[in-house]
Amino acid sequence: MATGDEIAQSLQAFCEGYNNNQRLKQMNRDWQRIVLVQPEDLTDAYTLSLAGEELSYRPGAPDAPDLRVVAQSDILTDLFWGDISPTGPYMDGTLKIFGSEEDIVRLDIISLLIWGS
Amino acid sequence: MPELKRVLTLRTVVATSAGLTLATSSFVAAAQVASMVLGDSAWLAILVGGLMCFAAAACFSELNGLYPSAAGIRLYFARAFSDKMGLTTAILYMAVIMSVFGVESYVLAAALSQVLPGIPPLIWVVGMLAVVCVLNIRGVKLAGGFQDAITYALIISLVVLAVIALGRVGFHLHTPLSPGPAGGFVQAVAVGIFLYIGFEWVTPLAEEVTKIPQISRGMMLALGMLSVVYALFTMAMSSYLPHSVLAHSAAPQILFARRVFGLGGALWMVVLSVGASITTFNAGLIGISRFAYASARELALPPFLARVSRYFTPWAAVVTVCVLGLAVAATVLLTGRYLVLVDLGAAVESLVYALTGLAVLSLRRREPDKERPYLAGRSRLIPLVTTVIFFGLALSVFLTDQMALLYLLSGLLICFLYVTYGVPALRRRYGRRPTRSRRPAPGANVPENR
Repeated sequence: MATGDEIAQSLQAFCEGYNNNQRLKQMNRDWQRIVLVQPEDLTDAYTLSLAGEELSYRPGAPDAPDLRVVAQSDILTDLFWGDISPTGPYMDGTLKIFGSEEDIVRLDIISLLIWGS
Repeated sequence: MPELKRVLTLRTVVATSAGLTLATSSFVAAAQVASMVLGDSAWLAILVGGLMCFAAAACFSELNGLYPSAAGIRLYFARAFSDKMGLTTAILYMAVIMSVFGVESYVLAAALSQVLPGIPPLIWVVGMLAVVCVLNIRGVKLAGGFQDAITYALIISLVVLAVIALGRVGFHLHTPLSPGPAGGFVQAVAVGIFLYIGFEWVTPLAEEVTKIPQISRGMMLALGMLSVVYALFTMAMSSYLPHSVLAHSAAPQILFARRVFGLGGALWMVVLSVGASITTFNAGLIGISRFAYASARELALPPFLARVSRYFTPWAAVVTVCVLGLAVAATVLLTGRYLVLVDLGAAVESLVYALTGLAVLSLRRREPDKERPYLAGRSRLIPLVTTVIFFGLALSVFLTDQMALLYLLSGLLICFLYVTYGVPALRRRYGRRPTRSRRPAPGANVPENR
């Protein structure tokens, strides 16, 4: 089980990976979304916001997210650090993502472009 | 829990389930069902098939509530049986759906050739696949409203045409309740399962609805609607066309429309066929290419399939699926053996439904405390009945079409060998080593929130 701080660090790393990737920002400039990150084993929640070309995070849940990412805290931490690909836990049911199918695929591709295969 | 901004309505869930199922090749399957029973009692076999699919839909709903994921049977069977079984079944199922893709191309090309005979069928197939391929690579999505409009227009048109046609013969049916020998009736029900292939493909939408039971309601409504539409339309077709014509035509709906309504009717039926195929092609291509992309991401398929375009679409998977679909369609065009693929599709779909019943039973035992928003009945009756009936239906298809059984066994062996030896080899070659170096050392300062 990861702590809230560890999740925050992983989210910051993910945001930095995104914000430092000019090609990805250019490709994704028309996609503005709010993502709720919800660890199942913690009471905390986090918000990833993609506005303009910048990705940022903050603690707390948004009012109306476009996507909801739910998993155990250690899976979320590994995921946002890029230590694991989202596909494995998604395929074995330990990672749940709610939202439109296009958005889910795009989130996976963003993770692929930030951290590699 | 905060609610998602965009959620789907029940109307779209029903349209998606019915739209994926209602394809041009459905008319061929309906004609096959009509030719397997005596007189005009095909409606009975179609309704019985639909009723059985209700049981399968209940099982899918329970699994979908348990694991609301687009991974579908890949995930359900992995949790219920084993990862190897989940992957083997999913790859085999996708390959069979791809062959249905080939049948659909062939049948649509045959329908178009009836009214525009100057253009060779292969040109139609290449053209249609190219359009769908480009749209998918560019990430152009058929809007939910467009899908709804096509599906409901199709359903209303088929009902209206069938009622008018039946009205012209005074709604006089010769033997509506005498399907003939039991063996023929069981076989008709089994092939009739082809008519419902894909109703469960709506389960990925579980990630887009607010309440999971909406998916099961949508599936049930779609099945009910389809059963009535297919039954009516098949009755109308068999009132005008002899069984020998129905059994051997790749475009029976065009022959029927031309006979009853003349050239105008045939042209309208071609428009309906194109509409049915567009939604089916599009949904099929999206489903299979995303499965291929996700499998490549987990190194269950070659990693080149995970290449993405600047439109955030898995272009390599889309192109590969289109090329394979074209190869299947061309083979079917050259050999004319599309009926064996109809049988194969019906049998494999039946096997998947049977395994779904088994998966429900297995997961109730393995994960009894997990929350289930939907139950396929409180007892074991529905999953058990689903398993037994659909295994029986698959068996009845194979008893009459050994070629379909041969295709299935060959495919199963290839998939099993691939999952046993090919996938581990892929993972050894391309698997990444975890790099924890990006992480700060334990005890490092927590960053400020941004």
